[in-house]
Amino acid sequence: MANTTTGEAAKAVVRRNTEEVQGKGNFAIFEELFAKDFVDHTPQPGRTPDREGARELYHVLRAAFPDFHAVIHWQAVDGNLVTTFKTYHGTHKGEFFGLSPTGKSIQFDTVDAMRVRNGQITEHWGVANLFSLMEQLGALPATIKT
Amino acid sequence: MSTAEANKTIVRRYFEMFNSGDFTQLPNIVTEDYGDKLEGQASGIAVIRSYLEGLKASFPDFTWTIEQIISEGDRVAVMNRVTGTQVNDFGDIKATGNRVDFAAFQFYRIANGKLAEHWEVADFAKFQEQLTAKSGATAFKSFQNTLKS
Repeated sequence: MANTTTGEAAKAVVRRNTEEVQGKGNFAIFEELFAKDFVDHTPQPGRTPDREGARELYHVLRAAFPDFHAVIHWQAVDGNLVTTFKTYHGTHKGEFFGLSPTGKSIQFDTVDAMRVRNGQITEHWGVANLFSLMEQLGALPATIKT
Repeated sequence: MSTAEANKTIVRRYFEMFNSGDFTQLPNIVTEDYGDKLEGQASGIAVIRSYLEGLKASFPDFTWTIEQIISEGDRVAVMNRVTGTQVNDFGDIKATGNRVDFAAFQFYRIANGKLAEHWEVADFAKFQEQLTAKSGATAFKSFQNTLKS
């Protein structure tokens, strides 16, 4: 069984990354929260599966959606693994995946699992509904529109 | 067995049932008013039954593989892979024979030993891409046809 204190602390680390780094662009906190040997098991295409890749992705998201932020629906913890279910919101004001700004408000669901060791994030697995995001941005090629 | 472990066990049984394609145990695994929060999905055991049967009809080898499972309180979170072959029509997509393999996360709320509610985020972009990609067989056939003409 997970130690409750450790579990709650692990959830707080993940929440802090979501709210302060992703949601407010406070990258000093990123340096604090991400372990040097962080491994991303589900990197986005073209990004390295490490700390640098994660930092870059967050910068890209904040540049494309300056008001980018998540609403966390809930978190569950088991041992040192934290799972978070959240919805990201933002306004498309900068280039994103080659798309010029559309000014559209978007939202998409994401679930991820992060392993927390000694107060730092060491591993990440995530699935985001990017299909819905691209649909909202009107960016799906005609051939795959349903 | 702790509640957390018992809750994981009922989720594992649900996955095994789906993989086997035999849904006779469904009423012992999900509640009568099973609330599936998947976009566009209504609640109730009849809805989930026809949804699962529909998936298996299109992809008879559809398999959910648990990669991580974590439990806290009355919730269970699962990271899984979804793999299968589209042998029959799926909605308005004609049978392609294409193989799909994508990641998904599920959250379940457990009540009285059964799955009561479900939330999901899946990599639908990859699913769509794999489903609509021209299969090797089609591409090869088209190549052969080109040679004949």
